[in-house]
Amino acid sequence: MTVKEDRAKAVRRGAPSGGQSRGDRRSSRLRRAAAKLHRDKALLLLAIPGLAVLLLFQYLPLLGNIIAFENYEPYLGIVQSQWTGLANFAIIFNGNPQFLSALYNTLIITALQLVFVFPAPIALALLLNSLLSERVKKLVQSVLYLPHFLSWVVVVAIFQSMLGGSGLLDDWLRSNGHTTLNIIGNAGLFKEMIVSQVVWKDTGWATILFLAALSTIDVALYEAASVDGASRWQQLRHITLPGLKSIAILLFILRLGNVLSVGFEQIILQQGPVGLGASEVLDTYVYHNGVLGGQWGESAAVGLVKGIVGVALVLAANKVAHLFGEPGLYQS
Amino acid sequence: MSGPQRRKTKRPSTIAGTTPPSLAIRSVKSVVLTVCCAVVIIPFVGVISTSLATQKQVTDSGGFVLIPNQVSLAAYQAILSGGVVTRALGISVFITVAGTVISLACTATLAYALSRPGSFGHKPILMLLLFALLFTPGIIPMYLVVKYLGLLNSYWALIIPTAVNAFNVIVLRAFFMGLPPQLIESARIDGASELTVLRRVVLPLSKAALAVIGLFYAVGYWNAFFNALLYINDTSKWPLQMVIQTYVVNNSPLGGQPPPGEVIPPQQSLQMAVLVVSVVPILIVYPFLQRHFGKGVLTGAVKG
Amino acid sequence: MDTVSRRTLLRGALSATVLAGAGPLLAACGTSSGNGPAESSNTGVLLPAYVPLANGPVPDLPALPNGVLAGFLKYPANPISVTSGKPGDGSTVSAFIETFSPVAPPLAQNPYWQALNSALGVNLDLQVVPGSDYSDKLNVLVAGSSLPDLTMISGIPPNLPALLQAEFQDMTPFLGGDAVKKYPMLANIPSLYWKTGVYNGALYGIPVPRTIMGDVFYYRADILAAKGLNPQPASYAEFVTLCKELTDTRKNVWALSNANNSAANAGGVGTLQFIQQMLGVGYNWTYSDGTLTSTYEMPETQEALARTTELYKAGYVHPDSFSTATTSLTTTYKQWFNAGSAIINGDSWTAWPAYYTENVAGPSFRINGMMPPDYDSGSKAVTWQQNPSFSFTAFKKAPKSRIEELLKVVNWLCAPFGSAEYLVKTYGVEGVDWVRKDGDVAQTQAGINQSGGLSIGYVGSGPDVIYAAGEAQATNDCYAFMKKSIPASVADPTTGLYSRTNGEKSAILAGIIIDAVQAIIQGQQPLSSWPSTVKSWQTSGGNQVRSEFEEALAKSK
Repeated sequence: MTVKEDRAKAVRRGAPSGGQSRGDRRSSRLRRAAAKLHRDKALLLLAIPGLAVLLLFQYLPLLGNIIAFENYEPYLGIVQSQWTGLANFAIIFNGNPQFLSALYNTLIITALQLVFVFPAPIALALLLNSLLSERVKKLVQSVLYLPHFLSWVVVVAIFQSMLGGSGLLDDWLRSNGHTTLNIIGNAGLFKEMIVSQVVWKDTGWATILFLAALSTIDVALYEAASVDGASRWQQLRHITLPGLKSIAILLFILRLGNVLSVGFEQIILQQGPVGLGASEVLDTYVYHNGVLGGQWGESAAVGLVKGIVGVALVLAANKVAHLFGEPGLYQS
Repeated sequence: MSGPQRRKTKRPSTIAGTTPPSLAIRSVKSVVLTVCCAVVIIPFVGVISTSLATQKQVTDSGGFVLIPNQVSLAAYQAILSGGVVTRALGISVFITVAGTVISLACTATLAYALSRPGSFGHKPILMLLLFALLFTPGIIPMYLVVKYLGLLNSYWALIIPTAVNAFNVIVLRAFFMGLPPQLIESARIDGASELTVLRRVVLPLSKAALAVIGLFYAVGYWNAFFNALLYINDTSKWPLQMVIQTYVVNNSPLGGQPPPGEVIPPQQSLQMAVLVVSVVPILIVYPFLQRHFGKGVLTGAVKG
Repeated sequence: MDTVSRRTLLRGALSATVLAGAGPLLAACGTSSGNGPAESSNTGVLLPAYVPLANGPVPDLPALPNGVLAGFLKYPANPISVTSGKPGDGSTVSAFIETFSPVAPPLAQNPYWQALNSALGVNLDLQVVPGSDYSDKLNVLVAGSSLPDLTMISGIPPNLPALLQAEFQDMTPFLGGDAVKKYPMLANIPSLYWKTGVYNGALYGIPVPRTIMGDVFYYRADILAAKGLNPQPASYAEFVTLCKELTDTRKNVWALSNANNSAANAGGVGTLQFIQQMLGVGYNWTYSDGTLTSTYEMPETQEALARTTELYKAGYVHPDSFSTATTSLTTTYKQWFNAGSAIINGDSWTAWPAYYTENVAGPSFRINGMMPPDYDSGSKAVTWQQNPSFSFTAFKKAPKSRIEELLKVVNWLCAPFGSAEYLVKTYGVEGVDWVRKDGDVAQTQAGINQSGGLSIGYVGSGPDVIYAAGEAQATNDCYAFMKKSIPASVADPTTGLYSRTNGEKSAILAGIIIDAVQAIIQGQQPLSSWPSTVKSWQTSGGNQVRSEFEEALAKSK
């Protein structure tokens, strides 16, 4: 314990226990807070550059979301646009069929992503980690992350040339006399295709974070375990997985915050063949109505609601994590 | 005590005493990995092949070529002549390097400041971070802030507004909090200031995490184009991805009559060539970072 | 694991407009002229007088009063100068334009740009954006009060009339009626093209003229000639026979590139649209007795849909036409057409020379346009007119002297094809950007790089011409086709008029229709579901759009 902490504790201990007046209690709380501030001064100074950037470039523009309550026009500006209160939020509640369809599609896709896209890098990281040869591991890893750098335009073009109606797959089927599959134009497979594209594109990249987490597990633990006669499976269960647990849970909680965002560019590129009914999600719906239709207030309103839902989910998930004894995002 | 002791140990390929996995498991693993690699590599081969293909083959094969019959460098010549792509490449490199350094500095300090639960303002600042993650400002307010800070048309507009990513801060914070507290405590007992603790103890122990977060930032800067679109009017200041946009998204042919004695490269080849040019620098840099992901750190650090 | 910042940045980025490849046709609006360009304003605005340039460059194929463009087989050997002196005053002229070409080198490495500055006598500060990002940039420029001197207005941004009134200069006093005579190159632009820039009863900008001829239903003339087939069927039945003879699935050849060009709602012509034309259906709307009827509501459209479904079922349409991602629609169809795997493909008329440039079939390659035949003896086929102007250039509010300076500069830029000024403006410096080849002008790779990305033509352009460099056959064919198509064409009666709901809801409304059309053609839904789709279209905004347009039409009489 440092000298400073000693002193802080003494201050706290020195406060009289019973029979305090509220003013006394408040001033002692203030004194405690002041002491804490004094103790953590250097720490807070360190936080200033990052916080300054956040405040200036994230929070200051966030004030602009006030347009969710206005009938905003860019040429009028924020101050002069007409105030409309909660009118823009009506789109969420008035049962507009296109909105509801978009919401439904979003939820289905996000569920698929949570089930398939989230665990895939963990599995792959474990697989890579268990490889005996460092060289193979490094080689495979540097291959698998490549698709992350392709833009969606290219990824869509690639998938199309493989799976489209006159792509490699269907050409082969056709020339061998079978019926073609035409996967790309199939509205019923759209959500699955979107998810598999994300798996293809981002799994290799996402393993990087988990591999880094795995690398922080103390090697001595493995040595000790094998000396104790633990099998590879047991080592996996008792050393490796727990080592990954907290980062995986943290990422899952954060992922929940973005549960209503399932991709924009990727989807809007592929809506044509399958139609809006099967492919419209919240973000593309907002785009069609907002940016293209000039309804800025409405898009800001939906963005606000998405954020609020995200926050609620994150806080709830964090509480659940605590119930399981995990630190989660933060401790109370 | 003089300070934390570290031993760098390479993770042995077999842990002494453990039986190696069975042949069945090894072959399943190999098959899975081979399939994964193939599924990734084949399209990439296609990208490269298309960039080298001739117009006839591109047209015949529907726009995506797997194996070129004839190799033509026309696409690369077209995009690299005139200096636009090379210039944009240089700009992107500068922005990525400067941006990553600045971002890492801001992120590491902020993450460290938040790695002590119970410190003053810990929870409010963390909530601030969380909200920043979940609420996104619109493009118009962001533009107004950048404009009124005088950053329009300047390279700083491509760095500073995105210098801090809340997600990266939270992840790095988790890594910092996972470090053994005894090391940090012992340094503090020795009278080290917070900054010294950060520099001498925490950062050296977090090489893997820093490499990863640094990579995330670097790739973010490298791939960013939308902020260049909004904030930079002068096309000579555009980074590579913005230039790529004009190739990949435009639908019109290169225009005009073929120059005397020259062949106009096909649209798809141009697009793929620009893509290859934009991915190559990352391919070069990544192996250097990869070293840091596999290191076993902290071995024996706590005992001693 | 996308970092959130990337995803949020992408939120606003449009990588592809829903109606991709048809950027210029996105407007679905143009002028309401039925025939003839020399028309007085029926919108109550004094349009600029039309004063054809005397002693201008003489075309090989003359322009016609009904809107057929002039044709040039080669760039004139000795281009005439049609202006004198430098129009500029040495100041900086800034302009915001969209581009569909790769980025050009900066000024210091760009002889073309330097030559342009020198000829104009100003410093051009060009702020270009890729076409797909146009709306985002325009909105921040407006919201951030950062508009440059000149702004290209492409398509119909939301709330355009109010936007124009708030931010841009009313040009009627500068250009209306005889005032335009101060700027001979501007006066050389026929009146019908100026309607694009008219809103709120005022003229707001200078158009970038194209033509009223809409999309062309191209066919591979070389392939049809080789097979000895008649390229101009005289009825729908003959058209079907033609498709049958052209399709050979074993050789991966299909007659039609697509069943419904889903850019069709913006003027693109696919098979469905072609059959509608055979049946005499108007373009988007038909106006009579003060009421507008939408094409979707007409029984002929349902019939065309039925026919298209039959054609698709018979296998005459390329199987991949419905599985092409939105960005690559036109490019993909073009590819099939070039490769000979689709023999018939609708596309814009400007693509005519481009097909020759990109073709791989060798010197025998030839294309031509197919006129829609009368469906049967009871119908009268029509072709569809498009918005005659691609965009218009608006002027930021400024003092009178500044506007006049800018007008002089734009006037120079509107020098007609064939003039010496046009050669500098479009091609650049001789020897560096272009050379003489076979008596014609040929751009070098350097010239293409330096000029393409600057897209100065979107700031100002004179009347368009038919010119396919090095392909005289294409020019002649296109001219001949235009002479056939324009007299048979009808216009969208709502072109040039503004409907707020149309601006706000067009994407959603188009989506309802396209979804249904695709499902019906592919057999996923029965034809009997079409009336309920139309009803859905009506109640989701179609009726509102109709009444707003009717109101605007009544006011414009």
